[in-house]
Amino acid sequence: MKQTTIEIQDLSKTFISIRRRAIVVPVERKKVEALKSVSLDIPHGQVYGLLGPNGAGKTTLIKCLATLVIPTSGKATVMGYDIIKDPTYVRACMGVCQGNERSIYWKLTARENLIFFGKLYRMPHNEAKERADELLGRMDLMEKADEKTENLSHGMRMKIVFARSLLHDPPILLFDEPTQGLDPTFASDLRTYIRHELRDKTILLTTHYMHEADMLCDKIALINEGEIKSFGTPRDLKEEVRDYDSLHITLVGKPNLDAVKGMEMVMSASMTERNGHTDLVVTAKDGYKLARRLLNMLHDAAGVKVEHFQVKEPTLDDVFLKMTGRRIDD
Amino acid sequence: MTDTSIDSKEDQVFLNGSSYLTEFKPVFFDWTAAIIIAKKNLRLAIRYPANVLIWGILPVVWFAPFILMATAIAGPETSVYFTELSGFDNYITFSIIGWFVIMFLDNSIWGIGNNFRWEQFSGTLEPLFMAPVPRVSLLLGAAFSDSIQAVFQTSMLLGISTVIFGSRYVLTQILPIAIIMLVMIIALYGFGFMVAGLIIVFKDPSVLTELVSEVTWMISPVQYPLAALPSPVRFAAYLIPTTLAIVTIRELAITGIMNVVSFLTALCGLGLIAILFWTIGLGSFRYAVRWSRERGHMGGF
Repeated sequence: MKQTTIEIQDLSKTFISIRRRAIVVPVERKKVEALKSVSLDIPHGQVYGLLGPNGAGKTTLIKCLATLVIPTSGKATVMGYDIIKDPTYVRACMGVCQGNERSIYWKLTARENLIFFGKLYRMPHNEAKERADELLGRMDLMEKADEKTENLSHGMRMKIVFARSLLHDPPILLFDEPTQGLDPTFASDLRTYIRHELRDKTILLTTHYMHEADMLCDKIALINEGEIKSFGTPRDLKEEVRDYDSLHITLVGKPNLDAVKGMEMVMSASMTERNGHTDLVVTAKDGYKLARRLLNMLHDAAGVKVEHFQVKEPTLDDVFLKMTGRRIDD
Repeated sequence: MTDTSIDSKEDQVFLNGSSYLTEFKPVFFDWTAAIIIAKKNLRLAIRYPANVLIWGILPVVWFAPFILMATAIAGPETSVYFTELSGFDNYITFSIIGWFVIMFLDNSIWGIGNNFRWEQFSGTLEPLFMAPVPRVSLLLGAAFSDSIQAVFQTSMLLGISTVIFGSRYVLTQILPIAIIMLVMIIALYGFGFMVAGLIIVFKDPSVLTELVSEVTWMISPVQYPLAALPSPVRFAAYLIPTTLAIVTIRELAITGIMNVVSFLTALCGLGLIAILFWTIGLGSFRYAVRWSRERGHMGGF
């Protein structure tokens, strides 16, 4: 059994935009390198994320894999099928959800849309209908199954777009900003679905929501200006930029600050008092290692009660900032 | 690089959880896909109620002024010069056949290409192109729905014209007429594929299709006999499938006389044009799709 289901080797894509004068005379050719030698291997059953700002090359990579865009150089295979030589097999292997509610027919009902696309994937009518109903049920859209999609909300339409990618039960799923523009409830529903219902699928997910990548992805590639700047598990990536952790503790009562400062691993400790409460901030190389010992010490201290405790780690945005010099939302 | 090909059915079933991929094989043409695309297009068309007006009434509205103008100039039904030039003695019956056939050409020029443009504009073209469906099936699906709409349009045209202008045709030759129409429609599909390719590249179909439509309209013997065209233009007219069809169908439907030799000649001519148009049409469409994929333009406006 071979494990890797998506292999991307040195994939590059250069777009050439031509500015013309008097309609036909080209005056300026501008090269835009959307992807620069991107390499990525995605094993079976893993969720990989592409995290980056708008224009970073995420969608171009998804479109190359989905056979909508022909790369300038490099190679990519999906379940062993080359995206250039075997595009039909590649299309059959994958379901693609683009964050575009317009990609379904608004004059058709939710069920009609799903049945239509199911049949394009060679599902017999009855099977397509059963599968459509199953997915509509899972997306809590059964009541809206016979409504024209033009009458549904943006979130509902996005759920239909999402359901469409699952119709033929493909082993590989490409999700391009699936929760973009969704209200928090719908976005949370989709994330929960991806996390719990699609465990056996190989997923490549693009997003510029850091918490989404953090929550869903086994590994994340930080992409900027067409290049993968860093790659690893969310924890590994954060480790790369972690100089220290800070422990934020809210206490009732006043602890002995010198005793805290004297603890092994503590780099610094500071304390502020407000309304009978004390906010204690302690920094350490490894906040998680220190946390248990510090909490034990505070628990044993007379007249002190811990109300709130948090280890603040670097965020993926901090990682992105360090790698690229810009924030994802910039 | 790791070898990742799926080398056993078990691997595929394990990966997929269903037998879909194990049984999947690319095909050159997928009839089922073409039919469901056609059904979808028709369903969508019906859900835009204004389409009924376009299908039913507009062809008559386009056609009536020409008849009225001709009647005003030459008198009701005919003129001596027209009879000398065309061999027919009723101008209205003559031109209704032209209109009847040209509706199919009009649909093939505007229909398939505009359908792709509409899908592009709606945002549904990319999902269609991401499905494992042969491109030719996508094209033919669009073409079938256009043909069905054209049949509806032309039936309305014939029905209304019969009532308003009292035109009568010989129905005994309906089988050869149907055969000629079928081959002509197949040839026109190739023409439509070519226009669809152009629209994928140039995006805005209006100017382009307008040009193609007007030129083919001008050189087709719809309102006038072929003899009215200058000789070089007459040659060009024969390259359009509708010309042979119009000429043959007029003979069959108006005179009721079946000349086997001229019928077979027209049929062979249309067959050759069909092969030529399909070769050019599919070739240009494939090129256009590749051009568009290289530039990432597929879903763009």
